Amino acid sequence: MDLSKMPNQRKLFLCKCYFFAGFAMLPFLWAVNSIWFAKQAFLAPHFEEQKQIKKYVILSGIGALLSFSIYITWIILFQTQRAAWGEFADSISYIYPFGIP
Amino acid sequence: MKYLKCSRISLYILTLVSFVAANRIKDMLYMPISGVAACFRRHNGTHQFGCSSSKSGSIGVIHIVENEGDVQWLETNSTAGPYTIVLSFNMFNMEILKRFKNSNNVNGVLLTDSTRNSEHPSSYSPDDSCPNRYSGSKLCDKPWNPYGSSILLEDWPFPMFYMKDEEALSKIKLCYLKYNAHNREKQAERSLCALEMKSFMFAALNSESCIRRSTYSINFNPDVFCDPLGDRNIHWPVGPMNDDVKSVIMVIAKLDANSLYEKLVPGAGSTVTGLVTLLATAIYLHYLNATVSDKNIVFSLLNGESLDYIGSSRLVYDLKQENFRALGGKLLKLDQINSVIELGQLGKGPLYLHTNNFNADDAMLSNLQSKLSAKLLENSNPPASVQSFLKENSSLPVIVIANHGTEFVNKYYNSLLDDLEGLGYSSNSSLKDLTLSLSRVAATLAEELYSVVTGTSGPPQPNHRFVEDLIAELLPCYLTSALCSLFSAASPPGTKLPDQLLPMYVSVARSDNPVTTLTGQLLALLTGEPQPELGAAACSERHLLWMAGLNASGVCINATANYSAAVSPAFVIDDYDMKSGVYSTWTESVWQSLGMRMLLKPSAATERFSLILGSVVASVSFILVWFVTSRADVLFNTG
Repeated sequence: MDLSKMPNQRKLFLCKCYFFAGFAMLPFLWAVNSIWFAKQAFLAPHFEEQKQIKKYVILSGIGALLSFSIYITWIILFQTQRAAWGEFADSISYIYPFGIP
Repeated sequence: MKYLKCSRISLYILTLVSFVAANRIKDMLYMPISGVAACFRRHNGTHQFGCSSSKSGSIGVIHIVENEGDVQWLETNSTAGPYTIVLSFNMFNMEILKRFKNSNNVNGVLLTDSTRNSEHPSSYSPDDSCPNRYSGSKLCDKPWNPYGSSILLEDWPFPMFYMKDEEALSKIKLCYLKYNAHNREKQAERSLCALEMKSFMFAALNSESCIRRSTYSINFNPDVFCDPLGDRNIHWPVGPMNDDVKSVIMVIAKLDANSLYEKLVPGAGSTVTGLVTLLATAIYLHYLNATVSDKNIVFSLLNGESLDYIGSSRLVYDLKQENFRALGGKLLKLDQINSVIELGQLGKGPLYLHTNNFNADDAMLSNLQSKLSAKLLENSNPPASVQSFLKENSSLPVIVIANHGTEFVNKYYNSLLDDLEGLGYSSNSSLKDLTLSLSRVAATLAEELYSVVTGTSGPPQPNHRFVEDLIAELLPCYLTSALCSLFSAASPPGTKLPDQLLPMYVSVARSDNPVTTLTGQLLALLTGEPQPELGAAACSERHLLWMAGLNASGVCINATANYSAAVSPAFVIDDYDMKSGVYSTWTESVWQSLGMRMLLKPSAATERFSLILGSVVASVSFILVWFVTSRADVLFNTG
C-alpha cells in the first residue's frame, strides 16, 4: 500500500486499526505502525488528521518498546536461569535441549 | 598415509573450488576407524556418570601418552590443544584421567589394547572400591574391591573410546609420528593429525530430570532422553509351589556385570562363575528328583545387581507387596522365605562362607562348611544380592558362598578385562580345574539342599560326573562364544547364534537381553518336562516352549522356570522420590551414533586464512554486483 496515494481519513483509520489490533498481544503491529506512519506523523506537511495519527504513532511506539523490553528480559532470564529452575522450567518448555541440564 | 596426503591437498582445493563431489571429498578428508567401543552416559537419581562428546563430535590433536613425561608435557608445554589422548592400560587410571580433566586441554581419550600383547595389566576395575556403596544394608567400612578405581562413577567432560585393533592403532601411530611428534614446541604452526570422537549423549543432569523430559505431557510426541536400566529375573522352584509349602530356601546369583564401554561386558569372574554354578546346582537337583513337601527351594537369577541391586530390590519389593506370582501363579510371601543362599564370585582356591543370622550349629551350614572346607565369616556383608533381603529383614539367615574373604580375589571386577584371560586361562587352554572347583560347589550345595527338603541324609545315587560334564559344557557358552551346543539347544530351531561373547550388561529395560533369554530358555529346557507327543504348532497353541533340544530335532517343553520383571521399584512406584536413595534409579542416556575417525586438522593460521579469504571473496562479489547493477544501462546498453 502506498500511503502517499491514500486519502488522509483512510490513513487515520488504518493507523487506529493497527494501534488497537496491537492490544491482542501483537506488539509487532505496534512496531510496524510506529515505523510505517512515522513519516506521516512527523514529516508530512500539516493535514487535519495528523495530530491524531501522531498520537497513535507515539502510543504504538511506546507499546512496542515496552513489550520488546519485557520479551528480551524474559528471554535473558529464562535462558540463563532455565537449568536452575529445574522442574518449573521443564513444565513451561516445549522443546528440551539435548545433552545439557 | 596416502589418505592424509590427499586430504591435505583436497583441503586447499576445497577453499578454491566449490563443492562438486561433496561425498568423495568427505571420504578423502576423513579416515574412519571401526571396531571401537564407546563410553556412554548413565544417571542415577542425583548424578551423572560416564562420557559424552560434543554434539558435532569432539576433535583433538593426537597425543600418545606412554609415560609421566607425556602427561606433564600436556599440562605445561602443549600449544596446539585440545588434544585426544591415546594410551594403553598402564597409563589408564583415575589419577591420570583426573589430570586430563583438570588440564581442560583434552577432548578425548582413546584406550588401546594390543592384540599381540595378551598380557592383562596387574589389575583394572573401574567400579567402586565398595561396589553398590549406597544401596547395601550396612555402610561399607572396608573396601571389598581394593582394585576399584571408581572410573565408572565419575562424570568425564570428554569422550572415551576403547580399541583393540592392531592395524588401526599402527595407522594412528604412524600419522602421529609423521605430523605431530617432531618439533613439538611449534605444533600450533602446522597441520596436525587429529581424532574426532562422536558419542553425543542426549540425557543430562540426573534420572529424575531426563525421565521427566522423556514423558512430559506438554509435548504430544516427546523425545526420549534416557531409559531405565533393567531386564528380567529368572526363577525356578524345585517342587511345585502349592499350599503345602510352608517355607522356602532361596538360592540366588546375579546375572549381570558392568563395564565402562558398551558391549564389552564379559563379567567372567564377577558373574559367570556364580551364574554357571547356580544353573548346575538347579539342574543337578532336578536330576536327583527331590520330592518336596513343606519346604521348597527357589532358584533365582537376578539381573541388574551391579547397578544398586535392581533385580533383587524388585524381587523383595514384589514379595513385600504380595505381588510375586512368577512361580506357577502361586503367591510367594516374604515371610515364607526361610533363608537365602547366594553364589557369589567363585573359582579356584579356597572358599568362604559369609553368613548373617545363621546359628553356627545349623546342620546345613556346618555340612557345607566341612564338605567345601570353607572358611566361615560370620556377620560378613559382601556387596551381593542378599543385601536387598537384609535391608528388608535384617534377621533373615543368609549365606554368600564366594572365593574371597574380606577382599575380592578378582582383579578385574566389572571391567572389560574380566574375561577368560582375566580368570587366568588362555582362549584354548582347558578349563578343567575351574570346572572341578565349580562342580564341587554345585554338587555339594545341591546334595545338601536335597537332604534339607527331603529330610534324608542325602541323595541315594549322587552323580558328580553329571555336574562336571554339565559345567564343562556351560562354561564355554558364557566365556568363549554364545555359539555353543547348549545355547543352540535352548533356542528355537534354526536360530543363528552369534559366534562371540554375549555382553552381560543389564542394558535398558525396554529391550530384552539375549543372555537373559538364552539362560532362561536353557534353565527351562534342562528342568522342564518334555512333551514328546506335541509338535511345534500344538506346542505354541498350549503356550509351551518350542526349542531345538539337545538333539536339534525340536522339542516341546512344559517349563516351570519363569521370568519376573527386573525393573527397579523406583520406576514402578508413583511419585517416587528419586533422590531418596531407597531403590536403584539408574538410567542410560539415549544416543544417536558412536564413532571415531581420523583427520588432518589444519593449523590455526590456515583456518584463519580460509575464513578471511572467504570473507574477502564474499564482500568483493557484493561490491561487484552492486557496481554492475548501478551501471547496467551503460554496460548492457539498454538505455
